Amino acid sequence: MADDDDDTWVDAVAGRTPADSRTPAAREGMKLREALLRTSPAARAESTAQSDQREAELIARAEREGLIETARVSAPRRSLLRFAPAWAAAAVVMLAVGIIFVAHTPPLVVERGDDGIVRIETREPIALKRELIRELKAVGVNAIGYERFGIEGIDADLPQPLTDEVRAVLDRHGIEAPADGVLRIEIVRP
Amino acid sequence: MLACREGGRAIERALRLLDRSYFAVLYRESMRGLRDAEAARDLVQETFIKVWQRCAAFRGDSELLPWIKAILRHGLLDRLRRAQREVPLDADGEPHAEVEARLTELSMSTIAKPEDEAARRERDECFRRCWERFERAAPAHALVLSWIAEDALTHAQIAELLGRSPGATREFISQCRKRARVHLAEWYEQTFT
Repeated sequence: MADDDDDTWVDAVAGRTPADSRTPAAREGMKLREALLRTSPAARAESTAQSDQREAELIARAEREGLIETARVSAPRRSLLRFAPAWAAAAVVMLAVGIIFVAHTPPLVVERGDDGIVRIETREPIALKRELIRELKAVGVNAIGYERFGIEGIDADLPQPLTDEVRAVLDRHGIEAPADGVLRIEIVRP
Repeated sequence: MLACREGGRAIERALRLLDRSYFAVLYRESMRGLRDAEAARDLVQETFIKVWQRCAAFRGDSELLPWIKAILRHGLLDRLRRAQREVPLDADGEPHAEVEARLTELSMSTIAKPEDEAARRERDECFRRCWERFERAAPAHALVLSWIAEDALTHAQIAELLGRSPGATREFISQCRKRARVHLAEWYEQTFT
């Protein structure tokens, strides 16, 4: 569990002068910072002779990904294409909204790992994530959702002590309340 | 960045300029995390492509290199997360009790008196060895820790980099410290005695 001692330590690692630089945490952080900066790994940059080939690869990649072609089309077309990410995002949102209206499959497995992360397996991770975020926000919790490589995640700092409303949300989904108030959830397909 | 927004051939010029200006520093950063020349090169190229894609979001009042580095670091952390799920230190996710106790005892003791050059070199070598173990065992934690030292990252900047809430970020930092204590135990022993 994180505490003020860790704050002192990380401030010292970052080079910010802690309130009391004589504390063990401050000294530990300062020594670590000194060692890190002194022994920073030597540059292992590639030979500059390869830069032409490297640049050619980069340009080829940009062309493969449609960046350079995109830029060569006419201005009106380019302006439309500039909105492509927005259209894609809108499509994703519509898809996600659609999923919510599909019959919700209850979580299959809910367990807390040794690292404190609650892992949930469900056939509809995106829908469950959105539902959890909506329910947590409805009871005043600032829940942040994210997605990384197929894992849907939620981070939330729960009020301490836990309110009945928040506890009810957690209970509804079979989630055990974290002792430190830091709720971290990962949702995956089975 | 202006060229980046103009499009056409300007993009090629911009990409070449990016490569010439920033490849070395970004490649070094990538190598440190990925330890694979091909993967590091790929990540730097991916970063340059993202720079172009996001150039409209770049605020001209901030410096370019930190902005590009932040994009690279996001990509680097994502790759590390994809490559491996780091395991807790032990069954409780805590360092072994004896390691914890010894380190607390050491950090309470007086820092060593001035030492000669040979001893300092030996200690630095020990640090490199321990740090390499740390990087292999917990690459994301080691990398973020080195970025904190090098760029004096604040809690808010660390949270943004990780894409996590303040609470989850504090927990991550706490984990960084615990893992550092385990993997750098030998160096701690030399440094604080």
